[in-house]
Amino acid sequence: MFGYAWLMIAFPLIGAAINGFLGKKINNKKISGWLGTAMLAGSFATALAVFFDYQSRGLQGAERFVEVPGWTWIAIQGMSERYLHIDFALLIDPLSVTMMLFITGISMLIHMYSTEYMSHDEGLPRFFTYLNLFVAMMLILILGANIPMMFVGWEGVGLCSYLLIGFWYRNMENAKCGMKAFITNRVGDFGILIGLFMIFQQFDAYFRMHGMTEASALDFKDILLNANAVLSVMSPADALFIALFLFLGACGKSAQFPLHIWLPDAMAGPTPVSALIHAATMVTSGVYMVTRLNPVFSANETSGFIVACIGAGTAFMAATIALTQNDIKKVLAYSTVSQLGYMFLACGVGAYWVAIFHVITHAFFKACLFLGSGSVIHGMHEEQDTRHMGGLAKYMPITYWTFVISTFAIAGIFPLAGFFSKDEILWQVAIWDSQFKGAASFLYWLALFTALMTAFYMGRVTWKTFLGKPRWTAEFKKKHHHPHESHLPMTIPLMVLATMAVISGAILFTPGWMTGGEPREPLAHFLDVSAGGPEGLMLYAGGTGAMDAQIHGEHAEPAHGEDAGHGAEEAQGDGHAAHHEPFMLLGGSVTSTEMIMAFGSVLIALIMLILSNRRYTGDYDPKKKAAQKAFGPLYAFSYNKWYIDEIYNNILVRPGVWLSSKAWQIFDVRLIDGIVNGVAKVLGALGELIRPVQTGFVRNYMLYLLAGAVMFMLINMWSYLLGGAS
Amino acid sequence: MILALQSTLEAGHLQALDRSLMIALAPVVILTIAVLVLLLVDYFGRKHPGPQGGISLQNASTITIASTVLALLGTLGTWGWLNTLPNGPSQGLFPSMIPSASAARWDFAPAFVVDHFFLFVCLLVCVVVIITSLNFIPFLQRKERYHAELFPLLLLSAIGMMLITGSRDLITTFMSLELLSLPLYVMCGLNDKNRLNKESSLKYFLMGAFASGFFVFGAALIYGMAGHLNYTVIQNMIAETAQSVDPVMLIGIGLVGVGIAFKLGMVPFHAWVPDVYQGAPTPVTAFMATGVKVAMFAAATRIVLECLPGLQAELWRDALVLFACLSMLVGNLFALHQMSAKRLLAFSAIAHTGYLALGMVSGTPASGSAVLFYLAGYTFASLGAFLLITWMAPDGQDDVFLDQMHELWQKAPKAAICLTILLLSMGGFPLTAGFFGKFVVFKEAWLAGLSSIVIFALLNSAVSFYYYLRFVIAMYMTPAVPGEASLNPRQMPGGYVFSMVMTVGLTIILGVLPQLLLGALDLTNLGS
Repeated sequence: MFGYAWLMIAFPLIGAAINGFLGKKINNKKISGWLGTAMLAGSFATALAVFFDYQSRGLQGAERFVEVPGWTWIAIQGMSERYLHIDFALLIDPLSVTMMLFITGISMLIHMYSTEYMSHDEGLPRFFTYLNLFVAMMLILILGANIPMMFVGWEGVGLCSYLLIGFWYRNMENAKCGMKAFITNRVGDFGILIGLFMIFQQFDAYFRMHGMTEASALDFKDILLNANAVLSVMSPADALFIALFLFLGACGKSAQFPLHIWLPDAMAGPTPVSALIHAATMVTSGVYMVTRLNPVFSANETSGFIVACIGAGTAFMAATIALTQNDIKKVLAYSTVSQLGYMFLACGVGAYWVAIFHVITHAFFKACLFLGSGSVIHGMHEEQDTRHMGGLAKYMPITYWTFVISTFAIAGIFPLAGFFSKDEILWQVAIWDSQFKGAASFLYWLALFTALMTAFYMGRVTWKTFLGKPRWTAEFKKKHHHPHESHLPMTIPLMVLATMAVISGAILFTPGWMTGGEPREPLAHFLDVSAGGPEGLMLYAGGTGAMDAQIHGEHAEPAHGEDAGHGAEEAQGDGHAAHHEPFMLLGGSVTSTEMIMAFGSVLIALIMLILSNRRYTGDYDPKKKAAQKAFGPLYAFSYNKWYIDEIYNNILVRPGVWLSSKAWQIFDVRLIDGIVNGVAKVLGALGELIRPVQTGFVRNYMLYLLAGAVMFMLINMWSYLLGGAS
Repeated sequence: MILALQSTLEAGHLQALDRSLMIALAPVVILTIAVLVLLLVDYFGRKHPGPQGGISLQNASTITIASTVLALLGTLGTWGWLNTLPNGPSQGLFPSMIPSASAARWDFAPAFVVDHFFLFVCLLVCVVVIITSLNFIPFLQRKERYHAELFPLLLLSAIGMMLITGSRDLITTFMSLELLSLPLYVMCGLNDKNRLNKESSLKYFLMGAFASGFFVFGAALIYGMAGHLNYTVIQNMIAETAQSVDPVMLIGIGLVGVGIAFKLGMVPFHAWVPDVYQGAPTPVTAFMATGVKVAMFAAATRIVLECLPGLQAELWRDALVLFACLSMLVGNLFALHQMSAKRLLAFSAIAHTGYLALGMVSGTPASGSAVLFYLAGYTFASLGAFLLITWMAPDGQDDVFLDQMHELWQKAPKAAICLTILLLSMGGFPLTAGFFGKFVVFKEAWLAGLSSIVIFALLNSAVSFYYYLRFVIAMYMTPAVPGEASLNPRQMPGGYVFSMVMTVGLTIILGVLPQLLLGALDLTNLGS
């Protein structure tokens, strides 16, 4: 149905191939750069076409998962009749459509930006090769119809990320940062592999037991449509472990505690890379994966609670660190970690569509912020330390205004995008209905406090960079006099992204207190079946498939499509009212509570922005070190990133090095080498022993042949006599 | 083929016949014409009788390669055309001539079949011929000894390889076997001034003649018991007397088996392999190591699947399983400490024969396609590796020793990487064709109940990494000692580059996307 969706992946792959193989031959940075951008434009156009096509078809229920067959990758018949079938196939469903739209769109803008940003770099064709390859891999990740394909994409984006972090590999520090990202992600991969294996094991056993020969335990569609049936017969411990292992994988990719340490270091790569991979797209793939397999996470309230706690905790921790960092990209990096924490918080409380909503809005404003910082770094000639900036607004007006808009958006100022998504997350936490309701109120306050800090540190970095007195280094002043605004290829993406940072929130969602009745939730309705909305839940319970509804009585809900749709509307309608009450009621009603909470958070954010503005403009001088003096150990704690790198170094790395060197001495040198050498010696001796057999004389060889023939006959006769006897 | 013709005439298919036969046998027909053209051009091009003059290397190789490419395309065409036949793709051509139970028709039973199994082997043989020819050109230019007979001989041997796979009759099989072998004996002695060449040629000939005797004697015994040489008739006869099969029949099968096992280089019929492989000119070695193996395994698999299904497996299989195990063991043991790359690969070829024989004797319906997949992977890896050896060999030496390869990585990184990939594929490293080849072959053997043998084979293939990695250690990790003889790689000719891209590319593609070939090979399943 959507066969042309393959084009979306093909375009960047072609771009990568051309730039990769012919880049040196072409030897023209303009052509290389714009070729890469054009390929992404093609991808984006395809994504739009898929989206409109998908919308116009008006698919319902399980039909909304459309599999686009590609070709068979591996088909192996096992011992039983079942085939292990792994196909190259795409899954077009609301979630993948949503993801691909903003991924291709933002990628296109960032490619365009890079044509200018990287124009002085010798390795530009290589850069665009990696960048195009990254987009192709990202699309495979989100569009893959089965687990192996997702994993191909998962590792593919990891590889590209690693290559791009170490893009300037001649600098050893950068190469080390790449390795850090790589190793940290291996820990996460361990988790996701175990999780995926367990899913396969459990679902495959179920499908085999129930003779569902058509269903594949690797296929997302089959997994989702039979999710509840399988999960209900699974032991709760298994379900919990699957969720936790998968979440460990998500932590690795999406930089959540305790695996967040690689992301700030990943800023060693070129800034467009930070914007594309380490802010807008790749790091959200953990959120994507959790949403894709959301029934597994919803099956168990404990796993949801753990996800929410890690999310909120990471959001808080990263925000405190961001308060004191001086490198403009480091602040943004920790801000990304913090925002990703929000997304997992939303996932944890079961509001998957809200997580995706925040993924989208965050992609816009964070990409804009990163590109803005890139523009600043470009204008300041590779200066990244905000202590040496200040007063840039006058020279870089477009960068300044887009940066301010995005700052306001991330701070959650009404009516910018961040306000809608972040506030909805806070609201979903407030109304979370589970056995952990009490703890949820704590998470709410934590998230709210994080929002407060977000507004402050974002205000700090913005004002410090653009306002106040210029604190440029003497060297810079001597060489360049003053910074310059970037050219159009860099500023156009900034303006587009800033526009999206303004409007994307209100387009996708309007809360009930604003509409004066039902909330307007087009994104929630669109994502419903993929993101555990009411209709989705019914599908996961076998609502339209109705295969196992009878067997597992507790899930036997009305099976007909119409009923399901009707039920969905009802559930949607009272989702904000009846059984989801916030942990406290302000002003007596749910609606007024929501409104008051929203106003409260906007007010806090505004105060923080104003405070930071007062603090970091005027006669602010970092040399006074006012904050260090005022907060002492707290400042040091934050500035040193909670000493987590040091802790890892002392607890894991050093003992690991010691242990591995010992292990090497004991196991490798003595044991393994001993065995291997021993075996080799024995085999070698044996070889020496039989070597004389190879005489080189034909007469001997003929004798062997004859002996072999006689042996053949004897064995045949022996078997014959045995067979005859039986 | 004459028999086939005759029976078709009787069935009244005259109209369909002449066209069908030409299409069906396209690869064989095209190569035969090429042989004739080469010989005639050579003959009429000579001003004086004698070794001088005649068709030039360039012309001969061009005609050979062009006609083989044509044969390759023809094979592909026939592959598609077979699918369009009304009796469906699985039947092969001439289904009406497959003898029924009626005794009267047995006399006209077909000696030959064109099916996908045959066609796939034709494809492989064409690839082997093309790459071997490309390998020959720079080799001969360097050695300055070239005989005009070389390319016709090469093609004749290739025709034999093709015919033996489609043959369904012990006489046709024997004829094809000789057609395949005789040119090889001559080609081994390509350089009549080279002692090693001559030794290789003579040894191969003497041993081959000896082994052929076994084959013919076995065929005679089988004829005596079954009253016919046709596979289907033999199969029917065996099936009828399955409960009380005559021991003479078993001896006949065994003797035919010896003849084939000799060509395959199974232990204990292997002793010629290292000497001949090492002594022959390297392009000829590559041709032998791949083409002969492909053709003989295909023929053997057809015999197993089309003659022996009625027979209890224990009655004929035990000896072959034992020989397979011995092949793995002896091949790997002897390979461990070889210094000559050609000799090492010869022993590794013996080990591969052991793995392949496991697939062949398993006799499961899919074992044919499994063996073909393994053969494809092995062929590409082997062709590429021998090609690189030809290219690397220092002047005045037609071999490479491992200690000459030191620091190859610094001198010729691309070649080093290619050789690494090819050798890893031979070892069965995942993501290479060799891995999936071993996987499917071992899977069939496991399904056939040879599980303990499969475990033995797995251990053996683990051992084999020892000597494949010796190349890697030599190329990447061992510094060259100053003054030590080491390679000085020359510029790689275009034909080599093409061949390397083909072999390495196919090795990786089949390793990453095995289904591309596995899917097509579903058509090649043989058996009743």
